[in-house]
Amino acid sequence: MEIGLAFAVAGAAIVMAISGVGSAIGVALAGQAAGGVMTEDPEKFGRMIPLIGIPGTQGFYGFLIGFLVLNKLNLLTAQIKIPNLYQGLQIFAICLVVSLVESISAVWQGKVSVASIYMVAKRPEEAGKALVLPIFVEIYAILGLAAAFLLLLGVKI
Amino acid sequence: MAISRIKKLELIGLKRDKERILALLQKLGTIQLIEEQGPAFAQGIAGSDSLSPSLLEIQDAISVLSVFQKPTAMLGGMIKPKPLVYRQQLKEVIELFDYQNLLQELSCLRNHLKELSQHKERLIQERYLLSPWRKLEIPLDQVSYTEHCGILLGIAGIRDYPKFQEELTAAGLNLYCQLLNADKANAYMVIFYLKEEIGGLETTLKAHRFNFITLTRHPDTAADRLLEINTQGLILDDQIEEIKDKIRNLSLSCFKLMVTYDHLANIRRIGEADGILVKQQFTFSLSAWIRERQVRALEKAMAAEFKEVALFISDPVPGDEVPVELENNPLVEPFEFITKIYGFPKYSEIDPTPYMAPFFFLYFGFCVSDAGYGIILTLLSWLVLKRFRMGPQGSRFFKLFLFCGISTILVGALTGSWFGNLPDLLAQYSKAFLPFKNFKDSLIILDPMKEPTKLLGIALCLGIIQVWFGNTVAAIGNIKNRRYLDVFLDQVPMLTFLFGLTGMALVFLKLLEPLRTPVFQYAALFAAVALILTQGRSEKGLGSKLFYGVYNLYSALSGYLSDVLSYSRLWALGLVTGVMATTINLISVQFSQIFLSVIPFVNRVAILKVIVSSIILVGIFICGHLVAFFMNLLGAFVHPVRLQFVEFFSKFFKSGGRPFRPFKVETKYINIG
Repeated sequence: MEIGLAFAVAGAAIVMAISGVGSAIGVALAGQAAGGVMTEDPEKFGRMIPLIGIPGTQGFYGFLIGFLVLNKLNLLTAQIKIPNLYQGLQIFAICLVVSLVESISAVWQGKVSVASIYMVAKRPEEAGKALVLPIFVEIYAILGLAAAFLLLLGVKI
Repeated sequence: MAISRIKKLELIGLKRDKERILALLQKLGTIQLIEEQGPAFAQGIAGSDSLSPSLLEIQDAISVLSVFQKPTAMLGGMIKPKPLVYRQQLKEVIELFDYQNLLQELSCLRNHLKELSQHKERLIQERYLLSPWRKLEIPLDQVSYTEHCGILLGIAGIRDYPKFQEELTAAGLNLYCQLLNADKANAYMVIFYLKEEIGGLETTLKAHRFNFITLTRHPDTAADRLLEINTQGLILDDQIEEIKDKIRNLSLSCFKLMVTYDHLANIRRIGEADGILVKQQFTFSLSAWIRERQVRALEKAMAAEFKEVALFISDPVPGDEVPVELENNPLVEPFEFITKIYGFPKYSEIDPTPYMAPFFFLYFGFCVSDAGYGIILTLLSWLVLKRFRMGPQGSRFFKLFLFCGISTILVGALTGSWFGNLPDLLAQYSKAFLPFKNFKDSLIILDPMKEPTKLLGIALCLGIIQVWFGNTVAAIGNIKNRRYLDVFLDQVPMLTFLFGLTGMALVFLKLLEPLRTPVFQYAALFAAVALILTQGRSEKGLGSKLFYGVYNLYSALSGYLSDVLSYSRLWALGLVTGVMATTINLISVQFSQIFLSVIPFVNRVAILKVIVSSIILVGIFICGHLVAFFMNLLGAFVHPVRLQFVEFFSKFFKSGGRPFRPFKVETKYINIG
């Protein structure tokens, strides 16, 4: 009766994957905008790179959370810790909800990145200020990571 | 440590000395001219207006040539350091370099390039139009009328084509229709017909929405013409490359152009300054702002060169809009970078930089909170400062990160985070690292992984301290401006209120004994009443006053809460760095072992096993920590800056100051060394 383990592993898979989906969409939005800008002016490539890369961090955070879950379950070693049903559900719930915040914040951060990229296209001297805008969205992804970490600490298997 | 003291300067000189005086003032670079709206009309130095179009040309040429230069920008174009030029080089270039010649040559080449490119475009267009008609066997100029017949070319829809064919044959006309080409959408055909049957033909054609096509006449067939176009295209490509090479050669002189531009621009600035002066028949006068500490040097320099000049120094009158310059000791100066992002304080108010600096220093370290990352940051900044000569902006920026890197090392050491839990892992791996681990443990005062709540408490305490300090600085500002009453009516009740609230909260959280509660309660109550009474004092009417008083009380209360809670982002950022670093270590260790078992060959051979696993481990370690480092760096800069601006500056900062922009030698493209 390892249904708890099933839920926990499902949670880990969900958080890793869905955060990645959100990041992929965010980065793709930014990349498309950057492609458009660079057809007019390939010189701006260097300034675009951080703006394109910023929405990618949420996928990384999701991966980290998934890895924390895996570590908690000792899944990569010989002796897997089997959680009971409730613990499994706890882990599943944490992972599911945090994957929401990571993925949605990544998509919206991508949109802010697009706006920043257009700003850099018109005013390349303001690249520094443009870089600051998406970072404000990042704080919520970070809070999500911190929340997941603390909640996972509380689940005692 | 604060806002530079500024004096007003009035200078009267002889007209014949005017230009030399202006040149000397520009060289000294210490005054900011005040624009006079005086009766004497302003006319620039003759010839300075004629410089403007040529400056634009030079700027244009520089941007064109820079595209052709090899890229030497740092960090993928994010930072472009200006090249350093020594004064001797400067003189040489200005005297010897014939920039007009270069501009003309460049202009010629660009026009030629444009012509060739346009020609190429036309060829490409023609090729695009002709290529469906490749198979037409008759020469293009014969697609017209003979004595009895006509020839026409056209396109019909490909789906329509079979029906079209049927109808044509059914119409029983004497014609020959050949399908030359077909693609997904269209059928291209040529029709030979009898002139007298054109009527019937046209009806059928129109019914099928036939598109008549006319091609440019040539003595060759379509296929031959296409070949010719291709050859011509290749020739054009070669010519275009040749011209681009010539421009590339010219771009080697781009540097000299930049020097010329800056030189001419400075001459134009003198002309503009001349326009501001008040001129009389034999004399002229100017008024300017000058920093107090540079008055002496200016007087000396003037006296040394010009005998007939009068200088009058006076204090600014209240009501003058005095420009602002910040001057701070070298430890605080890099933090001006942050203040300048927000704006300049008014001349009479306070410079927030020295008050903000220690907080930012601490918060940055708190957010990154890993000694390993701190070491990398400090080393990088130090290397950049040493290797690259930069202007004051750039060096301020990197000095800031140098200091913040030191802070990070300190905080990282105190929380026991050196690339996450690396020392622990190393100690597990081999006993040789044990002394390092023990050293690291001895420095720890708080481990965020074990006691995250305590760390949150510390972050919130920092918030409380800074909010109190913000109010105190507001009081200092009021005292400096002799608004003593405001101190008693605004800051004192506010501080008492905060004191009372904080005390009550601490008792509630069981961090203080309940014995003291009455003190806090009375303080808070008294202060609340005081706030209600005083905060509405600028409004008219009793009702308004009370309303604003209560409203301000409420916003003080909720504002305090939200401000303090905002500081929890420091905790989140700091915690996350630790989590990320530790996890990266974990990933690199585990992956290096997992992948090993996947590659069957390697698993058997012991030495290969060790080598491959170490490569994987080190690879993931380095990449992972680099990524984490940069992500944290951005966040650790932006969020403390936001905290300073929103929670600290808003308490006392009165912006609206104009920066002090002296009349000096300015360079857009180069740094003069």
